[in-house]
Amino acid sequence: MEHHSSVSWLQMLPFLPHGEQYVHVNGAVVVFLALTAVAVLANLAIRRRFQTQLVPDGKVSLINVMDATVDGLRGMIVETVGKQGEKYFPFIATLFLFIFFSNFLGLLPFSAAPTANVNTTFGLGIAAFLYYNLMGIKEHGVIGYMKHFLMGLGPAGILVALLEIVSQVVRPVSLGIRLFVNMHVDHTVVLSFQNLFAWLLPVPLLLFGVVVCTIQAFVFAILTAVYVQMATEHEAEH
Amino acid sequence: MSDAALYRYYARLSGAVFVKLALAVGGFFLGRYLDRRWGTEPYLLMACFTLGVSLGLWWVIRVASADKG
Repeated sequence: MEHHSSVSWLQMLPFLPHGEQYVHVNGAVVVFLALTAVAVLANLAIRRRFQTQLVPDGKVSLINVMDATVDGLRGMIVETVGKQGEKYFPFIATLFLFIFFSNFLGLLPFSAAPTANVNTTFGLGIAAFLYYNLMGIKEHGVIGYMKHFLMGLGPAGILVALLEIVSQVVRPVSLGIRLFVNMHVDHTVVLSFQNLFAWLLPVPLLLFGVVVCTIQAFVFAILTAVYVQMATEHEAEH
Repeated sequence: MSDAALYRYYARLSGAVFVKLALAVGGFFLGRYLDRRWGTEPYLLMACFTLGVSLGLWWVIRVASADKG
């Protein structure tokens, strides 16, 4: 079955064998791996640059853009999680940047957004779920974290605690579905209009796509920050 | 209300909708399983589904009416 988010140019590469007998690789996986490689290379380049030039100059450069982005993200996470937000900043900021660039890749011609693939979004959701639970356990201990679900209600709060556990279990699903549906629908709509008339017609939708891509990355990161805050807070902070 | 409190409120509310869905679907499948096991079709399915939907609705109302601060 032809998949809209598959990378069509992948089929054109002459050195790749095609046919039913070969394992089909989803284009989103290739883009996902390419994005990871670019992220590692960018990290090395920025680190090297910081060694020679610590204070940013006045012009628009990669280092200045990254500096402003990281500073903005840091402020957002510290405001959401609180003073201890600095500890969780690397993970949440990495999630944001990965989702942000993944979303935008879907707007490039002949490319695919890894986040328009349900496996990626559920993977990200599960990663966030494991992370905030581990941080909660680290902060309160296993017993303390379990007591956390009672929310100060004692034995009478068993039903509330059970529903709270259900709400915990559905969180990675809700994170994954929200991102997947938004990205899939956005890119499918852009693609449909592109197929209808490739010139100018998709431009307003591409602009709308830019907004959707940014908002969805922001929503995923902010929800993860909120979940981390809820998992690590102490009773007195309620 | 601070931005952090508002984000927290919306995070819980958006999660509550998925809880309602999970309870309704869970109630449906549990009821169907119990009906097949005890031959009581369709009473337990109706009862469990209704219970799931009601609990989900109560959870959404509880979360939505919680203190936003």
